[in-house]
Amino acid sequence: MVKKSTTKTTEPDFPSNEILMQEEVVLNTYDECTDYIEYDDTKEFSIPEYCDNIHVAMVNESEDKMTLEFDITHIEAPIANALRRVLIAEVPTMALEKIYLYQNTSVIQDEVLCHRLGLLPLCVDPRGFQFPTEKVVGINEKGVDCDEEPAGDATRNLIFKINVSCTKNRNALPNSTDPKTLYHHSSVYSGSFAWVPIGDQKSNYTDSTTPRMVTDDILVAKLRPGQEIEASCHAVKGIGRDHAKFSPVATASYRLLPTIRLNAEITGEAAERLKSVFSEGVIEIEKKGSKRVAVVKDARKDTCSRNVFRHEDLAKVVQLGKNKQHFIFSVESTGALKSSELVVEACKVMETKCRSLRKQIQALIK
Amino acid sequence: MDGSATPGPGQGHVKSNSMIYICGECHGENEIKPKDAIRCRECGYRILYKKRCRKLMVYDAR
Repeated sequence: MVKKSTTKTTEPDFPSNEILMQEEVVLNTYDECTDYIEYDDTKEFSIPEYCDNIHVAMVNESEDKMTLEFDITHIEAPIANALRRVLIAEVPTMALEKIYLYQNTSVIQDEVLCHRLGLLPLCVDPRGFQFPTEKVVGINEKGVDCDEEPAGDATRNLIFKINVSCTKNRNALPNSTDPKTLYHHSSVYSGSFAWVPIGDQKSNYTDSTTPRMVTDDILVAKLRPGQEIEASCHAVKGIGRDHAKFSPVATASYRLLPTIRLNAEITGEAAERLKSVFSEGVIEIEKKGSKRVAVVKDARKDTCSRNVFRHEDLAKVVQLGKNKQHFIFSVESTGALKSSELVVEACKVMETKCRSLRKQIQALIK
Repeated sequence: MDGSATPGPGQGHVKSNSMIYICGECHGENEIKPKDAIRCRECGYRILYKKRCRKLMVYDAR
């Protein structure tokens, strides 16, 4: 392996559970048979022991519980990545699926409008619903013609109705040019949707859990006097693999915990420079007698820009790495469920997948 | 449900022999009967357009 002469590090004294970041290369990555760091050939693999090692720590949760940062340690990238992918594409949510369009005289085309409606995030717990019975049939196969709107199934559908028409505001000031004051309903927002309960659906919800849009201020379309939109929208349960509108997260991602090692004391001007090349809060300067010494305060805040290697003197004494077994997850919910609930749901989905895989393997062995 | 392609009366309360047209100038709605002058009641503009009929169509939101 070719090593850069600028770094002092050699392979042996670098921890095997860390990725080593150099100016132009990243060493000790996952493609070097180190995926399963704690795997020991000599003894039998024990699942309880492996699970005991896994540690989950909540780091940060926003006040509305919609963004969550948490750490998982002592797992491997394939498992962390599976969790991330399940969060994005396999945890179900409700989304508008069939739009029964009665009138659309706005400038936005029917297809484009309906596509926009589908992407609106709904604030409703999908766990109380069942998946639709039939697969989606594209509009081109059956056409857009429809004699009658179906009533909808209380266990599978949610119906939202929208009926807005733009009118002139007679009380507007004559010199006004702002459409918002000149007309009523010049902009259609997601708040214009009204939930219509099917059957006894109303009894399933309290005032705070009434099905609604996550936010009421998403712009759907713009209208001018005389234009109107009238539609009945049927929502179904689905998963992100089918369409992104069903994805419960705005983003679910993970990164590895950065490690920064200072192999020599960095003082004075160099310390200030070191502080400035990292993100704020990563390096702090402490007073040690008469000297001002740079210390690593919080490596977690580092963005791994490796900017420090542009300084020749600093590059020689700073060693950057990433802990391969420490995953910092960041989950942002779109609003239907709390992020923490989504993670639990994702784990349940993974469990179901594992069970079905085991069943298939057992069937093969027999 | 009115399934015809010709724009029928938008709302139920209008008489069957009248039609709703949209003014090409002020975009206001005009109810016009046969033999009525083709002229907007609001602004007097003489170009009128047929209004899109209220016909149910189903789309996939994807």
